[in-house]
Amino acid sequence: MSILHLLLAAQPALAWNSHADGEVGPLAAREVWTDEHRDIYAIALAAYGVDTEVTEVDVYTDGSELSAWWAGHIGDFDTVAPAADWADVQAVQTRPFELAMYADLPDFAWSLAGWAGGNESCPIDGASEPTCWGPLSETLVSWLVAGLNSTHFLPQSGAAYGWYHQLALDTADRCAAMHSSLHALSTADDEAIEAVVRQCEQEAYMFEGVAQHYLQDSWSSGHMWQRWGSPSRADWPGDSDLAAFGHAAAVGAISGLIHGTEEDPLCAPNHDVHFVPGDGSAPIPGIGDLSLELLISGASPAPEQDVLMWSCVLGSVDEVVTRLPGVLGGESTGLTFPGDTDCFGQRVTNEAISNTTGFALVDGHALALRWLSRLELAFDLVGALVDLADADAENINDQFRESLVELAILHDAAKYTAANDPLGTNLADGIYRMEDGSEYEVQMMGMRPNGAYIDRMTDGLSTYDPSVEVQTGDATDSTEREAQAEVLRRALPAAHVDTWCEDGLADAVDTLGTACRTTIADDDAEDGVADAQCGACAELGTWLRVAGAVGDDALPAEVCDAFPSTDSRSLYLPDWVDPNADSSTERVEAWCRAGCATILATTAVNATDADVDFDDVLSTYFTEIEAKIIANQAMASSMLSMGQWSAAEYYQQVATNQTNDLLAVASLLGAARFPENGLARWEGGATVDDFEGTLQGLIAVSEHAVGHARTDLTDLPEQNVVLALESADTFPFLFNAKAKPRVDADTGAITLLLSDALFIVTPYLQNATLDVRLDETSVGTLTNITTHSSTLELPLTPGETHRLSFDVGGYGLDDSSLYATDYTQWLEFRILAMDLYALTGNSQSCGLIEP
Amino acid sequence: MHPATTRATLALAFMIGCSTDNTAKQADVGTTDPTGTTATAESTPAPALDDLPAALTDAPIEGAHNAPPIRYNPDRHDALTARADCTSLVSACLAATDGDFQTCVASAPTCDDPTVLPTAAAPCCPEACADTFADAVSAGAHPADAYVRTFAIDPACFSGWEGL
Repeated sequence: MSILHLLLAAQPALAWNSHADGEVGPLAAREVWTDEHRDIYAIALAAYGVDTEVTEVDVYTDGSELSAWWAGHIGDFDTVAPAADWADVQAVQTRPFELAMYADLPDFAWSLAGWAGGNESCPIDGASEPTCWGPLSETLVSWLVAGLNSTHFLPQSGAAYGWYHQLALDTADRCAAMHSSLHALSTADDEAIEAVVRQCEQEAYMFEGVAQHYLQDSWSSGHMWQRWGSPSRADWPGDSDLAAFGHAAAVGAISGLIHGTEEDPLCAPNHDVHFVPGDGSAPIPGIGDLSLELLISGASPAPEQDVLMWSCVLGSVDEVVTRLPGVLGGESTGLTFPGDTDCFGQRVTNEAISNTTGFALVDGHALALRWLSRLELAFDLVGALVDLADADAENINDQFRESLVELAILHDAAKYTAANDPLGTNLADGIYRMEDGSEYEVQMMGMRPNGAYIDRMTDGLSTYDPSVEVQTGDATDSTEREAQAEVLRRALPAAHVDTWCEDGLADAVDTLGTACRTTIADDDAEDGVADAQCGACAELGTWLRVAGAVGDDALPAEVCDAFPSTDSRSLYLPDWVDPNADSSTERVEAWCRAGCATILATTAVNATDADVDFDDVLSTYFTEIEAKIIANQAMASSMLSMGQWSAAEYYQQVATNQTNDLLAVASLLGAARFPENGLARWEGGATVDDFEGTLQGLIAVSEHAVGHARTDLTDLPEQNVVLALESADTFPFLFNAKAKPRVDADTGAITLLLSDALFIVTPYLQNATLDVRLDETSVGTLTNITTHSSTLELPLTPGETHRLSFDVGGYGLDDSSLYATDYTQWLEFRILAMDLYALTGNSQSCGLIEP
Repeated sequence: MHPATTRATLALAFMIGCSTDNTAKQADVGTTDPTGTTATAESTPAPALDDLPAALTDAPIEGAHNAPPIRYNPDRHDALTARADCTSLVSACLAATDGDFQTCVASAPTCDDPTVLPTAAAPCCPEACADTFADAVSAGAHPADAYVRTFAIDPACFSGWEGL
């Protein structure tokens, strides 16, 4: 048993069955594929120690919904394609994936960018989604798996492999350069660096997975021949997209007859199936689809094929592993790729080909000929082709049968000719050799053997991923391919952080941050929108150069420090961002959500204001009120006992009037006096609506403070301010207003606006007013039960602390006489004070600014 | 006379201007049934369509490798089925003779136009094809080459082929 077989011995039995028979189109893009190519690639990656665990990536989408009728499902579902513009981000979709699954990709998606875009668009010019994907898996037929899959057969498979393997190598080189640059930073954020390099490595292995698919297909004997056709839609004849697709599907059907099934020679172990290796050595046995279990078990009837395939598979992976930094693990084993000739030069013998064309299904070529001439494509069973015009269908079927009969005659005749040596491979290359030495190219419905179209893949195939140079913006390409590059950059932004840092990242973060804060302030915004925008802002913003108020020394050099950039802006974080937060992402997200928020209110409400000793005032008056109550009760009792008052008068005067009045006032004043009653301590105070938590959450938004005011950001979010004291079943005090910070676009001056203020106080304080003071200077007075539409403007100076206070004044009961009931004593007490602090640092450097 | 020799002889005779006709051919090489098909005494019979496995005829066949399904249509009767039926006669003979193209073409029953025969009629090859083949061989072509050119690559001898 070879070393390779020892390595593979612990692997489960696998099935090599090339069918994309699960979901198709957009729904297929949401799956973690587990077909046969994945299994081979998983073994290879595991052999190199590469981490292949299922993981996931967050993709920021525009939140739109897709109609899935053409994918065979009723109803809509959310897009997973990245938003085309960061300003359009409305949702985040978590997409699971496994590195090995990308070896299945060509059976399920057009390209890695196609998968990244959710298979939600059709990259073929002129083709609609239904013909791209087919309507249902049971009648699966599409350009992808039947029309344009000539690339899965030699020699196009070699060219397809070459394109994608080069993408993997170029991506690996980019990852290595990125890794090197990042680690050259003096104060690198290891977590951020590892995150971006990891995704870059993942992308390299994704591309290699696609390459592996074509490489592995090349080693199925069912694929070791030139299947007719081109991977370019433009090469297919047809007056309409549908007719062209029908044509391509017909060629696919004939190719399927040659490729065979598990009963057919080319795909099943069969003593007649041999292939000539690329080096031209003697033919060796070959097996194909449905036989992977045999191929890797060490007991294959085609052991040489086994060794050759694995040497190509592992050698290819080794080249990628060698170039990568190794964040995902992986270490070269020293295996070398045998080369294109050895890995893609193999062809099945003429003898093997002559026994195909469905001949194996019928006992004898003679009868097979009669059967083949009576076959027709069941267009009525192919959902994507049911609308094909009858004339087109008949024309396609005539060509289908014509080509099939010609092919069958040639394959039959070839067996009896010396020119078509049974051990030769010319038939696999689409050439029938005449005995006179001439050659005849066997075409199929006008399409040539696929080698004739091999340049299409290097000419810029719209269905393939763009080169790394296009991905990085260092080269231009077709509109379609540049769009694919954009999809890759947006779906896997960390993998392309070097490109984002070079250009566009600051704008993206700025856009996302603005969207995030706007959505937060929008009461009508749908759930999840803000989280998506803020999350994207944080993820991308983490890579920016971060500087600012928390001190450069406290911040690590961020990812973009490692790359050249056309945008020199840095992200200056506001003072209040905790430099000791767990991660850069957390620090940046704080800015994303609040912007350069100047914390206008940071101190707790207090009744024991340091500047005004209202506590002493209230204590004295409360004592008096208590005395009044006691005296009143005593007086009333005395009057009753002396018969001066009747019982009714007693209750009228004491219980109903004076006592209640006194108790109400006492309640208000007592509450104001004693912290545990709530008014003096915000935490215990009655709260209404959204006025809860810290005051920082109440009045905390002042976007882009002095120096960075933008006219379009002066209309800042507005918040309600509701202060109330609830005592028993009464509301002795209520203050309601709308608070709105404003930054003057010209001067940068900050103003806190209080509007629509309403003040209500117990009627037992007469002529009561609420005096709003800023730094002990009255800026407005509200009378009881009055709604004020006028705006109180509170000018704030950045960098200075302002004390905002609310003082209630009103006439209470006179204390000149124990029995007086007149409200003649002026009382004044502070019900609320808060400190507003405009951060100095923000005013100088916050947000995205030039250093 | 070996049938192939007869055919070659007839072709040569035609080329040099000797007259011949169907009656003469019938007398020399075989018998003619009511449909006009001339069967050679040594021809290999074409396999019957009834011998096809039911699995290939009764229901659509799923295309391998994701190809669209194909369906057997026994009612097809046109130049293509005629060509396939004709070459099935040759194919059966090739298998029996290990690739004697001349013998096999010559031994195939002939008719003027198989497409006008009833669907259930026995397979035959157009006389024109036999002639074309014979002409090519007479001109020096290798029989295998003549066969694939006449019956596969350029089957103009089959009536209605151009219309497909």
